[in-house]
Amino acid sequence: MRIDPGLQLPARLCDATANLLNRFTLYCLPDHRRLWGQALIAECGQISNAYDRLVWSAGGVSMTANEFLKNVFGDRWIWAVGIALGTLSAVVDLRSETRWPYSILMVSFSFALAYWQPKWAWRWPFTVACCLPVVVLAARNWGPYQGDRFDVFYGLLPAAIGAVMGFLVRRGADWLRHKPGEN
Amino acid sequence: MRTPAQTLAVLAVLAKRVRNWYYGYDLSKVTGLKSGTLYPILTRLHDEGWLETRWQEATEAGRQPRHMYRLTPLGLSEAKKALLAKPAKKHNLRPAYEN
Repeated sequence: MRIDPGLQLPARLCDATANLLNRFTLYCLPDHRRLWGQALIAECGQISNAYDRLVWSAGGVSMTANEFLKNVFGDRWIWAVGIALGTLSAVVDLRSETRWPYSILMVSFSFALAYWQPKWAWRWPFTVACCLPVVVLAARNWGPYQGDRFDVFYGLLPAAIGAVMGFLVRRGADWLRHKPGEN
Repeated sequence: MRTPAQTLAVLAVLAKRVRNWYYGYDLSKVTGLKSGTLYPILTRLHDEGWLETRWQEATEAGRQPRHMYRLTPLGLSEAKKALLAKPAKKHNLRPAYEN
């Protein structure tokens, strides 16, 4: 798509915004991509038109968003396992008399997922705990949640506890495996 | 590696003069791709070992060093295969920026 040449913005405003976007790009890109962010920003100096410079810098933000989404949704296997475990837990919850089985499953499954992939472990409690609302909505049967529908999210708390535990245990295990000073 | 049309457009330019180093901005102008599309493609090609990169020191004071790109031998052979299977569309090869 061509840039609209009719859009006239003050050059100083464009440059100030571009500068801000460049800083955002460098700040938000993961470490292994930061040089690519610098590479993109370095090209700004070659563009004479201020609006084009702004558009170019906005590309850095787009690259950052791209990296973010790739990181969040990159571990497809873990996502698939998380959704399967979450759905299983939801079925167990809808069939059980008490909340304990579901809570225990939430802690255990989140623990396992966070141990398996500790990077951005906050994703896993959401994955497993949000399966119950999805199952309830898909089945169009609110069951015990008919009275208070927001209660359907109660699995988030045990799942978060499980994820924190899994993350810490994994970090501890990694630390013990590669103790500082040992090669 | 999957090679969508935009990646093919980049490969087509890089494969044209294999020994040449290209700047990101030049690639963008030739392929018509915006920086937000181009750089993820370049990083992916680099991750796959298709692209080699180097920094060029700034020739003028106050300018930043620029990143340059060209195909590796692996990249060239894969690019040729990909371009033979699905040639880059001509309409992609137009300038993205005014200057």
